[in-house]
Amino acid sequence: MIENVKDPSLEAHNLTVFYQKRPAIWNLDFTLPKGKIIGIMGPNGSGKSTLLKSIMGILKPNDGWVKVFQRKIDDVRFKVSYVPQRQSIDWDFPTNVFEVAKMGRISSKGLFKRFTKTDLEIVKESLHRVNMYDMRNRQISELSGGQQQRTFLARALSQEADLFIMDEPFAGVDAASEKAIIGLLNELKSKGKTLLVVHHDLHSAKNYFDWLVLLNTRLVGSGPLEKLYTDELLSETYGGTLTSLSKIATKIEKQGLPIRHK
Amino acid sequence: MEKITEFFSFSDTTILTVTLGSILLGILGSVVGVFTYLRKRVLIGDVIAHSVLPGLVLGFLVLNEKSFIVLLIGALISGGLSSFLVDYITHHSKLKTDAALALVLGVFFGFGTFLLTKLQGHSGASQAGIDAYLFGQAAAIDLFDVQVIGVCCVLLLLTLLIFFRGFNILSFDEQFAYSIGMPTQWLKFVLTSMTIITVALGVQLVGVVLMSALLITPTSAARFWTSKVKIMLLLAALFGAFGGLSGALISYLNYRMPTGPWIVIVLSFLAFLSFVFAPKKGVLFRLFSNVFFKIKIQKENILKDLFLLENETIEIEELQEHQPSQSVFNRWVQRILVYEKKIKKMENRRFTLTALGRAQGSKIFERHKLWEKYIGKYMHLMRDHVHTDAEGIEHIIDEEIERDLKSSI
Ligand SMILES: Nc1ncnc2c1ncn2[C@@H]1O[C@H](COP(=O)(O)OP(=O)(O)OP(=O)(O)O)[C@@H](O)[C@H]1O
Ligand SMILES: [Mg+2]
Repeated sequence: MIENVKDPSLEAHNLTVFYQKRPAIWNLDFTLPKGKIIGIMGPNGSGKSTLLKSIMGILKPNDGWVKVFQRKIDDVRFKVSYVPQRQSIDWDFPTNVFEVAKMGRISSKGLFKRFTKTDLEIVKESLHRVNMYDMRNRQISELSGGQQQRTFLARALSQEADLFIMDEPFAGVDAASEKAIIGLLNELKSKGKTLLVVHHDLHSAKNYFDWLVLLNTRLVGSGPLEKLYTDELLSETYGGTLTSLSKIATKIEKQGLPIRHK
Repeated sequence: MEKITEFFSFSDTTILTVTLGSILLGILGSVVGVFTYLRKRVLIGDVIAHSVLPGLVLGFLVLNEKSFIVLLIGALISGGLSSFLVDYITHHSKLKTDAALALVLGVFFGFGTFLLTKLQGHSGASQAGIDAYLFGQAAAIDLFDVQVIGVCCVLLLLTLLIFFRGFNILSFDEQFAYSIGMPTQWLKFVLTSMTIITVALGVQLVGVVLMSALLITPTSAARFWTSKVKIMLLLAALFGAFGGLSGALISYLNYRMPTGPWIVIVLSFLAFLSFVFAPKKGVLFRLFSNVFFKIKIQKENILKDLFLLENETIEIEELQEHQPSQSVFNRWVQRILVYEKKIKKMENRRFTLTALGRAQGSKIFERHKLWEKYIGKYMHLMRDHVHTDAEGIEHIIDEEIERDLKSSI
């Protein structure tokens, strides 16, 4: 079940990414609407992070392409904010909350331009919005999981982007933080922003998202929540098909697969 | 003493060049080392340093000349090659980074040692000396070399200053850096090149074996004192400069003592001092804060128990249960309390509370009760569990938490 939209915020065509010879995402074809909160869901290892990284160009697709706001990602980076998985960085790095949030302003400044008063105001405002302003001078090594995530969100807010791409912003945060974060996402949505969020919990997904992308190396479905949130599609995503898919992937890893190149 | 003043007068150009070279390399190594450390690339620095050896020896064998420039070029080539190979192997084979590092180091250093043995039979090798390659030969640094080092030092420090923002964000979160359009590949290339150049310049001074110490020791020392990258850079540079200066001085005072190893020894000593004495992260601080906390708990327990005893709100047996034994530690804490005029010694070796002690004891008891109430209200714990819990927590509650607790009950 794949539903396409006109004037998409994001479009993937034939998108395929291999690690060495093992496919992590395979032939994804979908379009995503603007101004919605979109959940990307699938079991562990189904290629969710890989998909986000290939959208951002961090991973180069082996086949196919992605367009963001109908342009190549390199042309619209200033409109896109990427929030990596929290565990992907070393939180012992010698820096504090404010400095991390300030990094969000670099996307518009580049390597050399100085920060202005406006920049600092934006950073301050972002910290207030995630309720981290009081902790702005805290070393990041002293933060709890939820506080780390909110620091990352403050950095994203500082970017003033139109599309937010977030890898598991709810992972390892408590109920209160989760509530605060979803509140923030809804606030952004009401301002016309598009949010692309990797999420694990099926139960809460129902209340959080307008649109779902179901992933299991291949695309199981993409469309409005009401149409996608069915037992059939969910069990296809999380259920038995996984075993045969991973068997196929292992075989491809051993024998190789001729793929089309651009 | 006389020799020290003689040293600092720099009347001898050799002293001047060696000292200047040591200081400059100390600074350069530490500053470049900071980013190697932050990017968790410490081992690659070590690999590059060891891998420089075949380049050094080949340069000498081919051109039959042991000039600084020849050594430098040889070092740059083999250092660059080794770092390229590590990257290539990790990306194009099943080997993980650690295996690739070990492999490249082994092959390059092994080949270098082989060439060195060859060199020994070579004419004119006596003055080259194996030690010079392995452990450096600072005395061989002449005015021209110092000029080369100086120019490189200025250029590299400028690069670092100009691209600081890029290097910093790259080290912190490479994926994010890429996502906002930073030229991460290019920045990484520049950083690696800086490491290679620094190593190539430094082997003359400390040799291939100890070179990585010059990169990493000042940085590790600096990390103990600060949590800001900029200050870390400054501190590391300071440590590096101090190490360079002291190394040169010590080796001057003790004729025949090589400069390079002394620099490394001084730096290691600085790192050790930082490890022990630095506030917050240092061992002593942590040890003492631990001991102080234990003393505080013991003091409060004694005061509270005496308070309870006075008010007879507690059975004697129950008191004994959480009255620690009459250990040395306990008697010691009692003495502190006497000294603080919180308790008084009575006949038959018993203690009684002073007014001050009584106030404090009652406060602790109050906090204990407060916590029991709070946890009973919110946590649905069994009554008997609540008590053991409160035994610990009462020592942690401060004025602020007390206020919070009161307001939430
Ligand atoms: N750097 C890598 N090298 C090789 N294989 C990788 C690499 N990163 C991921 N993979 C593999 O690719 C597949 C997809 O990984 P990915 O991280 O995209 O999954 P995910 O859906 O984000 O999983 P999770 O829910 O655990 O975060 C997995 O099988 C994983 O083992
Ligand atoms: Mg993931």
